[in-house]
Amino acid sequence: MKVNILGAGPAGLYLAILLKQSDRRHQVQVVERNAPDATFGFGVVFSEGSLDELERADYESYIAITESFASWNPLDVRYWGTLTRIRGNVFSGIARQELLRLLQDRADRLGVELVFEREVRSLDPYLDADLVVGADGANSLTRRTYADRFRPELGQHPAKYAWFGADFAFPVFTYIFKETRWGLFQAHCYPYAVDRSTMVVLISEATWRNAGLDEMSEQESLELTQAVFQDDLGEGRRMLGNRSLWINFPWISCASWHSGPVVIMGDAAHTAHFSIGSGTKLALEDAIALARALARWKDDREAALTEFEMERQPVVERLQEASRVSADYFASVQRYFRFQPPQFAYQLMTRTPRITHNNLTARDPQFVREFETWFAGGDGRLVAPPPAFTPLQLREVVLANRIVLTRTGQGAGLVVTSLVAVTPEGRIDPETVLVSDLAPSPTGRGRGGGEEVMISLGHAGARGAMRPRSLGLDLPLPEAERWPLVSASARAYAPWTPVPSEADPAPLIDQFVAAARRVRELGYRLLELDFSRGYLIDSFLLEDRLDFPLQLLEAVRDVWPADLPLGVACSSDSLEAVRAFKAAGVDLVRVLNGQRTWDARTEYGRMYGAAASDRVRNECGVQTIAFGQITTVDEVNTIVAAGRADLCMLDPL
Amino acid sequence: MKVGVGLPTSTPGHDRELLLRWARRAEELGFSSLGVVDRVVYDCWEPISALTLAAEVTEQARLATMILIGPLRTTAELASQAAELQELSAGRLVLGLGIGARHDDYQAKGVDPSRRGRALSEQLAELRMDPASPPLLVGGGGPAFLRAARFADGYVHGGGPPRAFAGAAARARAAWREAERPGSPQLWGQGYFALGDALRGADYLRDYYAFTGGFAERIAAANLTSPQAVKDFVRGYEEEGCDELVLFPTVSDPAQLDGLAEAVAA
Repeated sequence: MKVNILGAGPAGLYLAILLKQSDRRHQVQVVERNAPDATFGFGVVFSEGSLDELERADYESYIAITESFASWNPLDVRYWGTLTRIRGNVFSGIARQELLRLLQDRADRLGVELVFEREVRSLDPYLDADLVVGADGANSLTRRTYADRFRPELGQHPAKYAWFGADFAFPVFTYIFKETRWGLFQAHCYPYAVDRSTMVVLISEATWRNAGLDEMSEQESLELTQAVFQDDLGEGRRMLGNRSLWINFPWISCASWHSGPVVIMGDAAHTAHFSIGSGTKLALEDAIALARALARWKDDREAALTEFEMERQPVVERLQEASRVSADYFASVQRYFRFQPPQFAYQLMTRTPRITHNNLTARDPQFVREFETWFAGGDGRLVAPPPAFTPLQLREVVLANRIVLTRTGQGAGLVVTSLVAVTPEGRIDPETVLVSDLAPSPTGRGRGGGEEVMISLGHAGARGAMRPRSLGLDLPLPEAERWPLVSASARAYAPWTPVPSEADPAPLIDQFVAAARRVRELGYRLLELDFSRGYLIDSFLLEDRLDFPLQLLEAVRDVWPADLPLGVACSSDSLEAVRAFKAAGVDLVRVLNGQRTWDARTEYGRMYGAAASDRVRNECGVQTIAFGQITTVDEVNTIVAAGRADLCMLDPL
Repeated sequence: MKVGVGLPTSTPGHDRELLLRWARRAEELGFSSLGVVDRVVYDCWEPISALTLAAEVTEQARLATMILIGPLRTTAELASQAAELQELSAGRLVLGLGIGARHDDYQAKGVDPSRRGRALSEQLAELRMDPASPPLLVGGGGPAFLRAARFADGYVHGGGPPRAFAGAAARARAAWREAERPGSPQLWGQGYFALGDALRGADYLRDYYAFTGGFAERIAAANLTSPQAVKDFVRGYEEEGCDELVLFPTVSDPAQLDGLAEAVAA
């Protein structure tokens, strides 16, 4: 087989090695624009512990690479001038130049034809092969040439970043968060040789402009950045530049990676944000999968390339998704600057759903144990329950744990009801409970005791007079059985639902106040007002009419005892509204983003509701309940411990 | 988990005799349901007609559209067709609806595809509120999860390895929770098979899915061609909580059914 590989980065070289190693008769040529010893970039990092695949694929290069590794397992977080160390995270670093040299040597000895300093301007001269591999990086000519086949989606992360080096080895992987008068500077630092480290520095576009970096030379930019981090570097130590330009991270993904004899791999096909440190590993794994598929299918190139794509696409997509979450985390990390150092570090570690409380416990049981005692109050105790079973105080009410369910007697710390209607017209369907029919509070009778019930008062608005949920959602009752509907405006909720009339706010306030009094008389100690999901109150918020919901809230707060907590269920779409609710005396926000309009779309996914809760909690400084595909206690532990919510609605089994 | 089988209504060389034999034999072998697909611009039978024919020669098997492209029919037309089949089959119809994947089907029927999501939702609302409505399923991605929770009894997945089904099933359940529907959604899955050598049925799948570009190769590569592959697939779906898995043929060969039943039972 004749193979032309464009690009002598880790992906292209490693593929060449594997192809030659599997069959010496293959004619493999690698074409590279740069000289063999060109030194761009500093070290590369492998964040995953296991490099077993590399060991199996080509033992010789595996040994050469791992012998050159700088490996460490703790990770340091420098924040607020404190240092938190978390163990059990295996990282390895190697100089990019060293990695390439090792791969070049191995390829050369196997008889790969390496052509350096040849710029590829067109693919045409290379198409006379059985296989043409575009391993030509994020700016891939191959991908651009066949854009109609590969259908790339390109984007940019809004933050700015630059690669620097340092003239010493950081002891372990280190995150540094440094506030300056221009804004936040973050550095992700890792050693890759006894006297060298990589420092990737991240700043917002605003910080970049404030600091004048947009107009500085490379040298000036290096000096400014070094000054920012001088305390962390230590006296006399220096940062190093090498084409250290401030750029935006490019997002690349492609619908397809192959077409005829042409296939793309590594950064040419997909990028994953550097903050999860997987780019090089992904590229090498691509090479392994591609070489393996080609070996298996021998004569059937189409089958081999299809198999390669089938095997790799899902893995890559998962990592890309995790890397997007990670990139967004670092871009909005200032949201967490109120956190104490242990929680800040915990949040950083669990920023993507890949790492949960259980994973973290397996990595560093001591850190988690210390964290748990801190979370439980840090009053000198040596053991504490996991975060999900740590009590929560809301005014004078203490909830036994952080789990919210919709039924009593199932072990939850808090039970929240479905919408309880303030008036018969406010019912969603004939089965909706009316506040006048509400049974007295069952508090104390729940299994395990201490189970509190929160009554969620609301008015269905345009979503009233529907058939029961056993049939479906938003299916209007037959006309004869309907009651009159009201909403902020005379607009139907959905194309198939009836048009309501305009609501008169004044009597509604009285109805909510009377209902709140009734709830209190029945002995309930937690009350929530439902301002969510396009129901009556939300129909005002959807029109940016905050006045009426606020008046209603204030009126209810007035009659609801000052020592008891008041909650609101609402979306995270307007943080301004949430701040106003908080100012009006709301203690707890249940963040529900779905169904505000009939065609609103929720992006489901594991713990999908945690991000919105996080935003509300940490941008508005209010306690929250997260809802959305939270299915295990491990997930509750993770969300609560990371300060993304104070309570979680756990899906029933 | 129940296991059903697709009817050969779009495989090369499909005809009336084959369909009748296939439906009879499938029921004898104990397959729980007979599934059909829906495509306009392809050599294939209209799904309700095919199920009507199958209804005549079967007694037990449920008759499922997986999916029928709802917006291509007027709701009145679809409702009366469904009601009729429901009566003819003594209540065995399961109506799975979706927007389909191809614009040319819409062009062929003179229907504007730009409003197809909304059209399907309105259609589902109307069907669901009709007391004579058969059980409903919704297929598709994105908005389909909440659409299933809003109007239907469950969700029908479009096919793929068990892990892909698991991801979609988790979303369907999440939407069900979001909609505060009691209980849990019925979850249907589907796969392709052609027992024989590794390339059997691949040409048909490449052709049927040609509109997806490179993706057709992937679908062809995933065709279940060995009893072991069928067994692993069935077990995988069962483990992920599938309620009913329907395996569609990719060749027009009635001998396939016995082989499939054996592989499933093994």
